[in-house]
Amino acid sequence: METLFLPLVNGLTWAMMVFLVASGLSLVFGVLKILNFAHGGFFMLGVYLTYTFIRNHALSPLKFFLIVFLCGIILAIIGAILERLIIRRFYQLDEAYMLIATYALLLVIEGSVEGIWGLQFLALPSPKGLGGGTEIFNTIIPSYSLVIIAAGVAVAVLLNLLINRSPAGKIIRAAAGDPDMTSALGINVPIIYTMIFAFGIFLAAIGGGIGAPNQAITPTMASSFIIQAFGVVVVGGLGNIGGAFLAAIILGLVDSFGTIYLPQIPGIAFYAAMALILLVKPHGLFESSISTK
Amino acid sequence: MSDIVLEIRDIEKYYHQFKALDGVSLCLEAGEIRVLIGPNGAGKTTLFSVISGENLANEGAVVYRGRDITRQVSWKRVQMGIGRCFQVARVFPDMSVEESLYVALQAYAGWQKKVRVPRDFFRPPRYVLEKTGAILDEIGLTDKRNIYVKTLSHGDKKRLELAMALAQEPDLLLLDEPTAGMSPEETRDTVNLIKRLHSNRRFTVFLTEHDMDVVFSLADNISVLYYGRLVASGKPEEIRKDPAVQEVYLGKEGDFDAFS
Repeated sequence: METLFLPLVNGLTWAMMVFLVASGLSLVFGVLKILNFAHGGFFMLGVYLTYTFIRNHALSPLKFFLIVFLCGIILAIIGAILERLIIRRFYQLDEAYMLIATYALLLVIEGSVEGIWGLQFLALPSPKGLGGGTEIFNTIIPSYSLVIIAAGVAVAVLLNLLINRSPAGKIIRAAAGDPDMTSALGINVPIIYTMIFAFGIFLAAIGGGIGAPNQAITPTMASSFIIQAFGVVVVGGLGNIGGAFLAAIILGLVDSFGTIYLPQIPGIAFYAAMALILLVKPHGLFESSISTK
Repeated sequence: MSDIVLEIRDIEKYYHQFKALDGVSLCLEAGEIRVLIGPNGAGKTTLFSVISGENLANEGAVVYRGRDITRQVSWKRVQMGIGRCFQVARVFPDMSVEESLYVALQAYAGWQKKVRVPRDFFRPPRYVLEKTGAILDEIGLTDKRNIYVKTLSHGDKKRLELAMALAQEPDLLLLDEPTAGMSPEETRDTVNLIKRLHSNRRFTVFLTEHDMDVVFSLADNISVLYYGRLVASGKPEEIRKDPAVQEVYLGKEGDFDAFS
């Protein structure tokens, strides 16, 4: 039991970290039908911005999460501006242009982060009281892992309520399914696109902030996270947030246990599992997207 | 002279070299049912999309209730009171009938500022719940409220689209071939439905139609579009006798024997 519990927690922690990035990616894909490469960049900006406010202070959890939230809001506003100025111009074009444009945006963000914060590794202390270990089932596990798992589950539940239960979610799903029809109901679809894009970036940024104490902070973290998040989004079914949640858990556990049983080749289990799942189900585990409920 | 709801002045619309509308002008009076007829490709759908804002005119002006809306985006025109149904019904296939109406009413409640955040964030405002039943009754879809839209018959899909347009409380309703593809019974029901809605709601209806029985049973006035030009406008009996119209229909199109 004890030998299985720690890798279980590690796998779930990794899963929720990636899900926090993948959730916004999947939401934006589901509604706007775009794959946003720059998403990982905003995740990283969330990490660095949070770092800039906190540095080496061990804040109370309340202050810490308030700062994370604030950084999310700041980056969401920047995201809304970028959607209006740049992203919007690519909706009518072939999707390859959107990929190139958002990849360019990712490079700009990576370059800016290197320029502003430098290439060295940075580290952020955990909030007070959350830095140590907690004993569960005779196993000491990092307390902060539990915070990340709780945050991931909370985001999944809230997003599900927002999209599938709330009246606003019905409009969002309508706009995702048929933007022309939705305009015919008097809805300003472009502003919904801007808001969803900004909200996706908010999710990426708070994911970064929440995960920051658990990571080595480097300018390359955007690329590594976006690849894993893309994997999770594809395996979960493009645009399906619930699917991304389950895919993150499956791939996280496979990766964690894979590292234990095959320590010679760490990290390979994630890609192997992803390839296997996509060979059997090329459209991911759950095909339906936001628009189709 | 009664109220003018919509005035179209010298509208020209090109698709590349092709001139789809060539100097079309017309006025709709408040409360009338105007039927636009003309052969396929005459520009009827194009004219509707210029009025509803899906397409913008290259030349000319669209004036709605005294306001120039020629370059206005389509969703704002909906908010101003211009509703539209398409030739092929546009509906949300993966929603139920009731859910579709929720969305339509939620949209209306949203832009009418009847929604209060955060109170109405996780449940529809009372307005939406009450109005859903009322519109389903009005349109005759109450017994199908829990059915998925993709499984509805063609006629019921058009009905639902009309219901969703009604949810926006239109003052001018554009109906692009409301009976297209319908069986004779469905057509008769639709004609009666349009008459009933028109007498209850007192809005202006502008519709296109191919079925001449439908045209003459609904129209207060008829306008005839022929390859991008408006060749006649007037009372049904005037249109029936108009030599230009007879030329257009009887000379070139054989299927309009209702005129003979």
